[in-house]
Amino acid sequence: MSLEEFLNIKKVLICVGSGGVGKTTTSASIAVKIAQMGRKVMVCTIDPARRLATSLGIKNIENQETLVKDYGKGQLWAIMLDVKHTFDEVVGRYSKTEEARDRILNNHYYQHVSGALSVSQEFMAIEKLYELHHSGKYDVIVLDTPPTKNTIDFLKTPTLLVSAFDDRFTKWLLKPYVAAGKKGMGLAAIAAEKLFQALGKIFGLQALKDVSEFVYVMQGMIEGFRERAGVINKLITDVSTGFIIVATAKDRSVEEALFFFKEIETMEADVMAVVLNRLQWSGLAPSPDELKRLVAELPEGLQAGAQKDLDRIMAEGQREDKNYRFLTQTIPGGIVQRIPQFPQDIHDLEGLEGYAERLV
Amino acid sequence: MSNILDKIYSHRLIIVMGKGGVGKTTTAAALAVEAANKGLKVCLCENSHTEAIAPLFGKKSVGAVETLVRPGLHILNLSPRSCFENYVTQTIRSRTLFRLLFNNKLVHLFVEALPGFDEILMFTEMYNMSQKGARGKKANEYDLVIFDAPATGHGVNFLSTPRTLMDMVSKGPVHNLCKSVYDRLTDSTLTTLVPVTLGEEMPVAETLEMMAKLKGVMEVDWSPVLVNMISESSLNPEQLAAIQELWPEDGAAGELYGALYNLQQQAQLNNAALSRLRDAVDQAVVAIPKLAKLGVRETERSIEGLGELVCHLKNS
Repeated sequence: MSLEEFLNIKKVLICVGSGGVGKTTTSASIAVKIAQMGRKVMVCTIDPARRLATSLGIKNIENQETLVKDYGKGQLWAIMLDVKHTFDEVVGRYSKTEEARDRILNNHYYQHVSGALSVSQEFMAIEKLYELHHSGKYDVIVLDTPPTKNTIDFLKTPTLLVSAFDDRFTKWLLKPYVAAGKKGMGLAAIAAEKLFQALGKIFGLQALKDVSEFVYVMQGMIEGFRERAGVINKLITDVSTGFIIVATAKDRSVEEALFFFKEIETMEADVMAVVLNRLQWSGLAPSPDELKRLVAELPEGLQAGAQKDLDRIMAEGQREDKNYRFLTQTIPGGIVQRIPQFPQDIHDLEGLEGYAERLV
Repeated sequence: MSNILDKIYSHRLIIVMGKGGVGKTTTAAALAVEAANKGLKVCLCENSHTEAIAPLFGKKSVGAVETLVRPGLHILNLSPRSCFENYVTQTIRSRTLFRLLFNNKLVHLFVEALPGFDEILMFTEMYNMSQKGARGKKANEYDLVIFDAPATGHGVNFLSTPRTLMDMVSKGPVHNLCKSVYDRLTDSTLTTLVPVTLGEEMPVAETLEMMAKLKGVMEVDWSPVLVNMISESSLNPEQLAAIQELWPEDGAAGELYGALYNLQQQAQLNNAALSRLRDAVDQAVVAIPKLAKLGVRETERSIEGLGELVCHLKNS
């Protein structure tokens, strides 16, 4: 199936790739293409560098579903997540009572970590994806994933969070705190526990108290998390969901792309395309001999310079071809796509439309 | 530049910073190879799930074990776990208790959750590596530690966390630990930052933004900015126009003209970004051209490539 056919049927598209490979641009241009094809599409990013807003040529899309362009039948929407804000929303949704919600929102520790936790970025991205999908407002959601140390981890975070709270040792760890809370004994009772003394030595007692309370109040929400983890897993492996892996022709990037590919395959999810981005010269049709002949026939004043530049181009092309071949040999199905480096940075819809033309 | 290199090497910790894809790891490795060539005992560190340094030296991975790869040069993938283990065992003097604690997923989450606690532990470890006797008698001691900082796009966050955490936890062991890291990060005789970037609009803007933000938080020593993968073109626009006149628009000639044009555009873009950077920063800016031997999947060539990069650093 061609990428265009995929774009016609998929309802959720997830772009993965390490930082600096043009992932946001790819996400945005795919969204542009889908809108042009007559569907209502939302592109969602969490990148604090505001690349999405810049490449869409608009100023602020922070935490607001924003209509970027109306294509008649299709529409292009965008949103950039504010992690802290989204986390607060999630807490509100899962808390059983208003009081429980406020206890979490006012927890000293929660206030510091909810924006800073590295898993929270990933968790919120996947939360929002589900929420947008479930709202039924859009035909397609395109998710530009955060550039994390290990991008695929974000798909596993709901499960990770739940299992952390399920751990037997965690429950044991929380026991004195729970007891203290009930009897109103507070910090002294906790500190009496030998293990807590040890933990207190490492982290300091006040920090420990904040965390224990945080964990304690969060426990009330764990059912909600557990349910959601299951639902999200289903969504990711659903036939209407597809992944796009973005990479450049550098060794490291190609290896990471391969790693992503294997991880996604293990989850039994669907990779639609591997985009090899920012190529300088790979895949040029004429043979090296033909190119050399062309340069040799140039008048003298032009020849030397053109020869030097041709050498540079060919050296780059060889490196790119090598990695392209490596990728196509390892990833079957002809889904590896080559995109040339554009002479200018892309920072408007027109640029994105041009990029989409090359991609699809 | 030889001067500049010596000045960089006069520190005990060199932090190489930049976003993903800017050649940061390669640059850090080249700096380490040259320092070892000069006779310094060097440890080149990263903190990453998929190791990027080891493959440059013909190894798949080395993990949390300081591994000798060339005379005078060790490499290491810092693991927050082993840094944490060192810290905890020094504090509570029990490895059993450590195991009990660390095998728990919640403590795991907690260590990660105290924003930047991982980094603080890693910095502590790296400073101890270059301080005589700080890690006990059996451990290696180094003249110089080079840190290929994670490319998470949050360089500022991770350098400013000691400060943030110090203020958040106003007293106690975490506070003291953060303060000691903060004091050493801001000591210009001990620590220097080497920003690495590309000669393009966005990367340059992001580097400037990163530097400005960090300057707002803390005083650090800045080394020259290294700008990687600069394209060069040997044709001027008039010559290129002349070639366009001579060649037909389609076929092989058309494609080659397109590539020559792209290369020149790229070179111009790089130059414009370089001038912008030079105007905006106080320190020197070093442009490093695209090097043919880097970025291929063969170890011998990558070592040669590192040598090429070192030569360039010395001569520019």
